[in-house]
Amino acid sequence: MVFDYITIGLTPPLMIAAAFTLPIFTLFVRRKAFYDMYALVVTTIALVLTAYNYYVILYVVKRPLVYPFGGWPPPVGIVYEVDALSAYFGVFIAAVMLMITIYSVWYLKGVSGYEWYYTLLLGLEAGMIGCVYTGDAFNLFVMLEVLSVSAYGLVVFYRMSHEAVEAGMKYSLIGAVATTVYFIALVFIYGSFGTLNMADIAYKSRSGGEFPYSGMVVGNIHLASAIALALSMWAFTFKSAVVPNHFWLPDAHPAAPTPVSAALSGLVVKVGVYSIIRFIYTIYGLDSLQPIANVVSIIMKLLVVLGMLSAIIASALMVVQSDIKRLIAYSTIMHIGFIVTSLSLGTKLGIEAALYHTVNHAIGKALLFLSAGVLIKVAGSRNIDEMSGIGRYLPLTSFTLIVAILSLEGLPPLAGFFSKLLLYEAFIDSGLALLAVVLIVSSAFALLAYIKLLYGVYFKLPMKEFGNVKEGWTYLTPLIILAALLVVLGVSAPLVVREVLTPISNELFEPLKYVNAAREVIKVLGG
Amino acid sequence: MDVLSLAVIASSLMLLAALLTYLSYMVVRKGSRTGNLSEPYLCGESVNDFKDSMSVGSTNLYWGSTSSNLKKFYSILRDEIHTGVLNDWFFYMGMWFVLAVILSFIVVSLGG
Amino acid sequence: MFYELLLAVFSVLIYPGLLFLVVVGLLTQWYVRKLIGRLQNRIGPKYVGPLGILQPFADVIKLVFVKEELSFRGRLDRLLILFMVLGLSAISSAMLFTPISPYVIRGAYDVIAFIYLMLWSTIAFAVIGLSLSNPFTVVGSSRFLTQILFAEPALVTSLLAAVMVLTRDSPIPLSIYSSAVSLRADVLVAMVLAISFISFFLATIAKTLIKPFDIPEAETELAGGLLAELSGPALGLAIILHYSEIAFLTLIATIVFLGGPYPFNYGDFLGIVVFAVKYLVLLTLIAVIKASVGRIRIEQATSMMIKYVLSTSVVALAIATIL
Repeated sequence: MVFDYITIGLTPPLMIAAAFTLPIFTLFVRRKAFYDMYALVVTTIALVLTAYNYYVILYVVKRPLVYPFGGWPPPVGIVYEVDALSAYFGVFIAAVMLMITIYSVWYLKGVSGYEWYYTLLLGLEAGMIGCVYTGDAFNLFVMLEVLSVSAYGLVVFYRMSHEAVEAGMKYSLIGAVATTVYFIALVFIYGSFGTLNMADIAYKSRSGGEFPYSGMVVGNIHLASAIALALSMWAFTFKSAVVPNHFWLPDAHPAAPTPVSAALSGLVVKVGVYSIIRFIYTIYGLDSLQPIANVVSIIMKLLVVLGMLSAIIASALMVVQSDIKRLIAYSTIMHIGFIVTSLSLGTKLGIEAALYHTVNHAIGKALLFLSAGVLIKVAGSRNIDEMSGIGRYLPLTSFTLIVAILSLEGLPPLAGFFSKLLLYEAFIDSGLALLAVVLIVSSAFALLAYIKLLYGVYFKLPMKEFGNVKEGWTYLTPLIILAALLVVLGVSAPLVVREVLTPISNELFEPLKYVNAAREVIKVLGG
Repeated sequence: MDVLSLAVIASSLMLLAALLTYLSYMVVRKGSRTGNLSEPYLCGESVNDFKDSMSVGSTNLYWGSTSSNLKKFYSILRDEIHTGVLNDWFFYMGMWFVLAVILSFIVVSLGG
Repeated sequence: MFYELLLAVFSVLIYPGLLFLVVVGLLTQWYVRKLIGRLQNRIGPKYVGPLGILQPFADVIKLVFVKEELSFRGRLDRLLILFMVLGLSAISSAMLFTPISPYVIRGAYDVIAFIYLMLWSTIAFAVIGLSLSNPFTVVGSSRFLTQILFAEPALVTSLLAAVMVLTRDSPIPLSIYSSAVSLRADVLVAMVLAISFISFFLATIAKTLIKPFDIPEAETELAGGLLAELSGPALGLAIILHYSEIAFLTLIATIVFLGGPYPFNYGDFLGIVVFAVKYLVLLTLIAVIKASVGRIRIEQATSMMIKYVLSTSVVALAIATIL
């Protein structure tokens, strides 16, 4: 049967259960090692499950897999539908989260409140995997809330710091508005389509016909889709920090504990990117019914403009920061600008470039944050001038920092170069050479900022006595694994593009595969 | 051959050349290292210990561009747009929101 | 297969890679020094070799083998050498994209790979000044990076514009090789090439710290600037890197913008002669500029970059896209 693969539906509920039963253990277990083990085991299981899903979907069945919860057919029940894109996102989210969890074991030494940290971290991962695996638009809203609430909690983890509380408040305030706006978009969709299932809406927006069990459309889908698209794009550009919805990021990401910053910058913003791709390629698309297709096309053009603006503004602001984590946070906005521009071009090359850059940026940014976090913790400050020279005491960490910077800047043979190459190909191929110029100029600004960072923490002579500093293998292990991944992903780029990205982009441009996978299951369920 | 494989080939050749050059440099240099650890040249100023090391702060590294030529650009960007005040943020975010909604409305009414 | 590998290794190490670039770079240094000397009514290099042609080689050999390398507290030795070596190897590897190489790397969009290999040498140069714990070298490097902020995009954009307009009908678009071997004689292409050549040339002068853009190595102001604390073999390596970069960029300018051995082909004797003549013409231009203008301040340099050089290259790219 088509829903034999229960790992599709198993993963998010398992993660949520694991995350929210952890507080029960705080009643009788006090040792930190127990919680470290718990978190490590859960994230490892998540990686195994998502990797298995990825393997099954790309190599065994070669089509999307559907898992209806409780056997209820949509729109009465929710389904999880995992296609190649979702599996791809799922696997790299789980992999990077595992590295972050290993790092957290070292980071939380001496920090109180680690039980709540792990609860929220596992909740964050559960929310992310739920978002990318879901096949129901309302469930996306629910998972987005799970994700966001965990993120708000983690940003204000250092409760005594004014900066963290202010950043968290601003983030949660804007976040609440954004998810409410998305909810309103869902109201419009439900009111006109009569269903919230993504495959169902995908089918109806393209042919306006009848879908098994849910029947015909119930209202004016054109106007409702237009409004829903505009509203949901606003919400998703908030989540992925595209200008002008980016103001929260440079405050929230530095204030969070470093492993959480790595998760937020590397993974949470990518969930926003995933949602954008889902909405403008699968649920609606350029092949939808006529006025909706025009709306999609306008939205895509707007996103190209906003992406380029993000790149320029963020890279220019990067150069004048004195807080190391804020500098890295602006770099995230810049790279997300590249990704959003590339995926809004509407070409297969654009999607492939965006997806490859997503993974490379996630790994490089996580590595950058984690190694900077080691330096920050040892130096005791986040100000680049106060941290001067700390890198000289921690040579291996500085080495991974340099690898991360070189990859993000795009130097061969590291992974960042190959995804930048694909980005250039996508931009020039689409005929808009201005995009290539913006890419070049922002990379030049970013180069200056990264070299300023490297100079400040590594090249400069120490200004104060840092004492006897030794490197520990607890945190070096994830750093070295991530650095090695960057090299491997870079050198195997031709393989990655052929085996991974091309099948994903091919599948994305055939949304009927997504629709039909759900349709078969629903026919069986709904009778 | 596609450009990705070509780039891999070019990078591996680069690394090969780098390795050989580095090794030959190390061999050549062996004979000429002095052991004495002298002080950096600071036009005769003395440097007592590293607390006094006169060095350029990393925030002042790019004054040639950020503080003189691009001062106007940065003053607009940093001081007027990115103020940190939540209301300003909502103003810009609201502008994008209104633009998106109005544009989609117009497109749908025209398309039909 | 094995033969190809051998040819590739030969190409990156001997010709037109490492050895070739180093030799041409040092010969370039001789030519420029001699010409500037004659322009300033001096003799220039004279004694070592005929017409003093081996003078730069003698300088480098002296630095590498005879002079000792002073090491001092706070210097990040191995990192410095590693980055310089990587910079030099990157531009040696980039030479394999051109038609003068026996083992040619060509493919669509390979100009991007070429550009990012060039970026390694920029980073290497920047790291030199920053990794020495001397405030003079740091300021020199920071001014270098400030110039690079606009010179590098201008360089890249003008190269992209030229390659785009030269390969628009070719089966392999945006490849350095295709742009070099497609002979064009129409007016629009020549116009775009001319505009982007001006921008490329000025950006090269800014990037390689030739007057008027040599504020980062101002001798009297910054006590030598970027290269202040280097001595012995490290200084020799830095000089080799510097002049190899000049030779590399001028070779690329000759191949892409001036058409290489046009109207002859790569490989015939007359083609080589024409190529060498064009290369020497560019060097003469560089020497004349170097000898006649003074140094400009960093703010002037940056504003000049933005106003004239970067905008020219963007215009060239815009026209190239429309065509």
